[in-house]
Amino acid sequence: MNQIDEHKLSFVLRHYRPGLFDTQKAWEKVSGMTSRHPMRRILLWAMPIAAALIFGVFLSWRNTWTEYNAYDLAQAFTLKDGTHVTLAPGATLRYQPHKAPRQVEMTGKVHYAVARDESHPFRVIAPAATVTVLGTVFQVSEDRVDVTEGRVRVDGPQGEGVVLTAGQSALLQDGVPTLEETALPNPSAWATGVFRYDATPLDDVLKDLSAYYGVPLQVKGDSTGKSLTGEFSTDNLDEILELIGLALEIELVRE
Amino acid sequence: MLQSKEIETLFRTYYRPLCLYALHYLGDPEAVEDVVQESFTALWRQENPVANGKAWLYSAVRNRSIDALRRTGKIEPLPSDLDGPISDDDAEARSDLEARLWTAVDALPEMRRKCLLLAKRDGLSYKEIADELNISEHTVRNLLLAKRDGLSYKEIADELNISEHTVRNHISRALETLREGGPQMLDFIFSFF
Repeated sequence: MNQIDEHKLSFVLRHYRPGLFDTQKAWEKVSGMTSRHPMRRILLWAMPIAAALIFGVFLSWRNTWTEYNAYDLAQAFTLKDGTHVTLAPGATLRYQPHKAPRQVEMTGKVHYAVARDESHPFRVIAPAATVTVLGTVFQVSEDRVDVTEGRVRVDGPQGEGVVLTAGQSALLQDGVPTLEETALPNPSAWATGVFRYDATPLDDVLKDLSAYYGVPLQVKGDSTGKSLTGEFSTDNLDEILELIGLALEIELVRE
Repeated sequence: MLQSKEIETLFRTYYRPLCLYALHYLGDPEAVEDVVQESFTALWRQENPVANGKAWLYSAVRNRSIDALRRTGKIEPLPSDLDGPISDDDAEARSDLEARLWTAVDALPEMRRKCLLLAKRDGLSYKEIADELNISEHTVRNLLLAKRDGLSYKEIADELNISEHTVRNHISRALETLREGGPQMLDFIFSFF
């Protein structure tokens, strides 16, 4: 080894330590740092955007409306809280299941069997009134509210309200709900599929069935003093008329 | 901007030479690695075209080394070797071979490297080295290792109780390795990186 090399070797040996200046280790360190760096930069501006996006998605998810429509036939649905709704043909109903599961907006005629929840009133916002209940069975249409079970509060657009109990109805006219004394016995038969009569005068039974089937009905013979007690499914009007006729010994005909 | 593959090649070729180069300035191996690694990171982030990566890196390491020295209060930071200041060109020129020597020392069998370091770095006599190594090697662990490797007691004794003559022998063989095979062996080693 010449003189210069001796200098070099001395210099190297002076500083030599095992494991120092390890190219492989240093490369892993440096390449790890630098390759991560652009990612960090991206993260810096991407994270707020991602957070905003996620928040936006959450908001839009929370604000999502669920909509139900009935076209030619009555349609039954179950809402998130367990409430059963039946939409008459042409009715619409929508609500926000994640934001306000106990508040629905509707048009047309809808029958409700509300799942009971004392601490969360169920609210129906209809064009002519707002109906608030805890857990009852009732129906709301454009011009009336009919209660089958429980208690219902009906508020008109101007704030006047009435409280209905089972068997009562409210007419919605000119923004003022008024109690209707002459309610039909089975306003919700179209939704429940059941006509129930309890010593109901025959004239009221016929009105009820006429309203439901859209067919005027008449009694052949004397109907005075006759009343009906019983339950019918609404599958077939002719069958019902025949059953009533047999029971009351009269003849019922379509006009 | 250089491709990461080009930077990796520069790194594997010049990392150790740049360390030796910076060592002439800083004299502190720990500080050296930081300076060289920072320089590579800076090259990585360099957005202007770099025509000569090697020249760019030497210049970056030089500037960073000088900055580091200025921070410690040196008025005129110069590279040096054990005997005193040398020129920057000299430091750069030497760094390559010194890096190879470093790698060769790394590759020496442990006993040879120990003897070499104790003699050349610490200035111990061969007698002192022999004593030093006899003490340090007389451990249960090494005995067990030697036994595990199937050495006879004679061989273990020879291995552990090294004589002055053995030390001299180790050193001359180490130097021979460095002188004869060193640079060539280093080319071989570099080709593995």
